[in-house]
Amino acid sequence: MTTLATALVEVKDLKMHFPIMAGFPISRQIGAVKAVDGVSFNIGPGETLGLVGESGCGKTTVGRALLRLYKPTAGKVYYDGKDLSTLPDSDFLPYRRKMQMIFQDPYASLDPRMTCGDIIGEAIDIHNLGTGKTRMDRIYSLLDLVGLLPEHASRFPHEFSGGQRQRIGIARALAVEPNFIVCDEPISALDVSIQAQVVNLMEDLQEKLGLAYLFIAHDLSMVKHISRRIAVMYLGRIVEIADAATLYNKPMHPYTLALLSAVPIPDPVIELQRQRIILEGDPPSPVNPPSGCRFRTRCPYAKEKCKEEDPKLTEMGSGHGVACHFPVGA
Amino acid sequence: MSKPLLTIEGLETQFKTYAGLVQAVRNVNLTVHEGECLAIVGESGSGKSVTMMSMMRLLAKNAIVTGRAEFNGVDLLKISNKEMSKIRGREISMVFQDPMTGLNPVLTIGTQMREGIMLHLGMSKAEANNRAIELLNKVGVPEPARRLNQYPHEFSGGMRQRVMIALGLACNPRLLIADEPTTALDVTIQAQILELMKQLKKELNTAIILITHNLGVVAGMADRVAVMYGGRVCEVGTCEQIFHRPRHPYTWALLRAVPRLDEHKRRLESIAGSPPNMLKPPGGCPFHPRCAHAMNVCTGEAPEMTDLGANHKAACWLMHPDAPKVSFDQEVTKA
Repeated sequence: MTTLATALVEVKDLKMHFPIMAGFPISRQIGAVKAVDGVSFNIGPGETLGLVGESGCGKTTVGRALLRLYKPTAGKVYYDGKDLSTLPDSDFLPYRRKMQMIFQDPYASLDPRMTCGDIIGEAIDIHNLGTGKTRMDRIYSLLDLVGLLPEHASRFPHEFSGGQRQRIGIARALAVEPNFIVCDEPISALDVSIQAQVVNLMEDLQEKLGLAYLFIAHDLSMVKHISRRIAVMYLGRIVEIADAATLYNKPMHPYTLALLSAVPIPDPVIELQRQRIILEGDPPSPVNPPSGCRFRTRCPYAKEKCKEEDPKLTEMGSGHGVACHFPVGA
Repeated sequence: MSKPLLTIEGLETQFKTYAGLVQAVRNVNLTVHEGECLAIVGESGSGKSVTMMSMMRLLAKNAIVTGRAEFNGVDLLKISNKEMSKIRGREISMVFQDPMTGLNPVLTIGTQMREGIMLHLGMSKAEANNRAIELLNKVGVPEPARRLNQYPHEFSGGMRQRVMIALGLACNPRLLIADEPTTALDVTIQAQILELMKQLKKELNTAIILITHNLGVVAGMADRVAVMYGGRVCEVGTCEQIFHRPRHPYTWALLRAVPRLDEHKRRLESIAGSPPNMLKPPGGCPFHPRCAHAMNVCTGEAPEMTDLGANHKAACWLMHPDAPKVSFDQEVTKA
């Protein structure tokens, strides 16, 4: 894996547990939803790391805890070598500027009562990046950057289509000139023909501005398309991490194998020949994860050892990490 | 080929709204044969669901539906409400997209399943109960007898979708309409559900209309595919024809816009612009404002369905004998 010196963002053993409270009038904590339970990875400048997994595996929580939208239970987040997890909130603002987020639902993430210009301008105001004409110029150039027109600045979100709204969301994230953007399912609410537009825009912006992305999605074909490296999550843990080509050509974790085989390919001939690994049942609850390996309850290769011992994410060569006692093909 | 089970002819659906008349479905013709799976693909707002809802007469009062939908010799749009309710759930049943909202949260699964069975098959409660258990078993819900007394919130998304499918199959329908049955589910659960549907289709010889926007799902499930855009069917053919020899520019665009797991990285070809506003659909071919091969004729007159042989049809002026020859570049999709 890349060394600390080259990493823009480094996450070490990140844990995010949400307490479950019960009892009245004095409620006590009776358990915790272990949404993220020890996740480590790093992202280099200008790089895209894809984060995939089923719903409820904690991928969104990783993104949010990383930006301190949640207070992580444990673990460290470094930005450019600086430990952000110990930083008081008051000192965090300059780092907010460096790390931004694009949200999943463009219909819910824009304030319906603000104009498009004000939505983008708000970030400029908070970070004191200009007033009056400089502010407006900046808004116009951002709109231009994401393929919208200057006159769109005075319009309200309801006047835009889904794809255009997502462009506004991207412009808002770019308003403060970040180096790193967490993209939380940025295209899953969009139509197929619009998805390609937004993905192409994101790739162009990355090239132009040297942005690093954490691309969170459940659509594996899209993640493979956009990412250089991919991390696969299952029940709050990363089970496999590798560069995109390796992960797709030589997956080693049984879960990655099942996930890949489940993705349909738009070609009837290939579809007919494919061997599908159908996983039984549903993912277990993150409140009471299974002992040992968390995937063992659904794993076709599970043995006694998987029940007793929790597999660590181990390096299998050239940045390919796998958390499995019996990796496939090893 | 066998006799068509369902023939939709010239179906038009309009909605009266304050903003004006929304032309959701415009002159749709479709046929479904016994035991066949027809997939209807298209973006949101292309009219795929509304076509099915019109046929099932499930639309709100502001909808104006004209045309014919002949099922098994009866025109579904002409018969009385009473006759229709005998067909709905008995002969034709629907599985809806969202398993979270498709079930009634205040009734147990058992109550919801027994209701249809008792009504349509005239079984007693005990018989209906046994039938429900048998169905849940068939769709792979563990411990069906216990699960019958549970409420929808006690089921996971995949399990709820299984219950929905069991409900759809309760009376051995001849046609099952599955409206985006896996869109709300994860890929691993999607694979489970699709496998289940394939198996049931083989076992019970039920015809399926699968509505989806996921081309991958279509490739694995469908026998024939209809591509819809702007309320019209723009291309229809066998799965093989649509994926390997597509003729309509919208089908090309759709195939190129999605990245494939089995190919090398390439730039995605996006379709410029956005889907049409159905309040004022563009004149002529609905796709012309976004079509790379649009000609003058496309803006003025809507193209007719052209028969390309072997049941492959496309509605595009490029099919006209005088039109320039443009073909789908196979290099782009072949990995």
